[in-house]
Amino acid sequence: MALPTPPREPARRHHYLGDILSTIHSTAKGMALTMRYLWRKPVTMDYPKEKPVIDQRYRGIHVLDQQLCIYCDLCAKACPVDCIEMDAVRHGKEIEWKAFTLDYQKCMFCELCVYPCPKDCFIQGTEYSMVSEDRNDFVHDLLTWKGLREEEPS
Amino acid sequence: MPGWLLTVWAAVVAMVVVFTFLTIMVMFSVWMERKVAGFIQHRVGPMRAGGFHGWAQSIADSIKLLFKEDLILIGADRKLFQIAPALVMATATAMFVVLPFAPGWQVADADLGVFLILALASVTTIGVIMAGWGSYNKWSVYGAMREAAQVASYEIPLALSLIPPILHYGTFSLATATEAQAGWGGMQWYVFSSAAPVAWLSFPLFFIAALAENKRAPFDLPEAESELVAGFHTEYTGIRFSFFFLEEYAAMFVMGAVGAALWFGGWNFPGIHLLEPGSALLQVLALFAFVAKAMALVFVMMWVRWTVPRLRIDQVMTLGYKYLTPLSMAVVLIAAFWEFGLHLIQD
Ligand code: SF4
Ligand code: SF4
Repeated sequence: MALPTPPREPARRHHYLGDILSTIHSTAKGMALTMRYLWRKPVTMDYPKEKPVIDQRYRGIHVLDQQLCIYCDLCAKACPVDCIEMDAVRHGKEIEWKAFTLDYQKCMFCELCVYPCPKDCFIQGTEYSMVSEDRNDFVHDLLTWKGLREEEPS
Repeated sequence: MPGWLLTVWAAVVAMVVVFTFLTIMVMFSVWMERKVAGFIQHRVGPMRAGGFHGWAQSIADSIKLLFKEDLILIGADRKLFQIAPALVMATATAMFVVLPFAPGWQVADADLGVFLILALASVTTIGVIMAGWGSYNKWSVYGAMREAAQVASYEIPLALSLIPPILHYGTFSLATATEAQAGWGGMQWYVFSSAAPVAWLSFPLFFIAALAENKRAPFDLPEAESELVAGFHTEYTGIRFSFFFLEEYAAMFVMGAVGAALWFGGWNFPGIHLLEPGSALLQVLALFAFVAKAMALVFVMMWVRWTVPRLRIDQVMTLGYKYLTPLSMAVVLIAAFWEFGLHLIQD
């Protein structure tokens, strides 16, 4: 089926002086607009000095509550790119933590690792800035302490 | 000291003064352009270098440019490629020679100052065409060809639109024309004088043609970074590129200065008749007034650049040949009859 052709616009008539006047008019309008914009408050932010407000739902760098974690490996299994590595030894109910790392060179911040956690102890925080000159620094250690239990701060 | 040594000495001093002024002015203009562009787009422009609003940004940029590698393509026409930036830079600097900064503060009061500026501005165009042709790059050739096509369409209106003030003051010298506008306590500028209507008709024509002459938006077709990478200076790096950059802003200032000197009273400012002629205060205030007026016109050029989109080449030609040229001819005729009428009234 042929598409209906749009009605053709009537050819614009050119009037020498009319064209000049309309050019002046439209240019003046544009210039007035940019002049008004010149005095408006900038919408940008002076970034490193001024930090943006991050919403709580932001999918940033992960935070692990190590006290609650039961070393079930569900988060690591859920991750599509296999960037979570964990290692621990169980002593009955106690867990001796050896490693819990997340490789941010691979991570795509998809949040799929957060949903399966049975203890809700693994979330994505609001921290977003991670800068380094060394690739290995992006293998982020999520453990706050290692070993059998947290040392009491003396 | 023998006479010729004195001449050489004077030339060296003049060169150093002009070049220092030009560099500082260009650095300031580049910074200003970025600030104006930023604020028009709700941004802030450079903020880091030097602290207050990134005032040292241009200094940092120029140091960076000086340390960049100097590249010449194997297929490039080395002679043209090397001469072009030098030619462009030399003509831009030479144009400063005839600008009247303050009473007596002018490197050379050439009788044909306006004519000299027009002639040198055309030589700049040749430099641009040389650069594009010698670069061995199709974008550069396109840029150069556009410049070549554009040049005749605005050079004629530019020259013609300068005739009304020249007719009114009967001189080609910028300093003499400025002195003639010193009446009424320094406010008898051409735009307020007895020929004011002609002045207001000719100034927009001059300004549009000057924009085209300086390859400024909306006439920046030889550069056209969105179509031609960087147009005629695509292949230039380091100091050679900085020469083109310097030339653009220097030429903007020169055009602004010519507009200020012929239409807006040059160094004259209200109250100039109260100060003793030749006193240091008058000189400094006059210099300030002249530079401020020229920079105000440069600001308008920037304002236009960040408002009006770039024209197509056929639109530039239409504007030049079908509108600016006949209109400037008409303005010259009107100016001639107006001056004739003024003479009749005075006699
Ligand atoms: S956010 Fe996605 S990619 Fe990153 S660790 Fe979790 S599941 Fe893996
Ligand atoms: S899913 Fe939760 S509880 Fe299980 S290992 Fe991961 S963080 Fe620990």
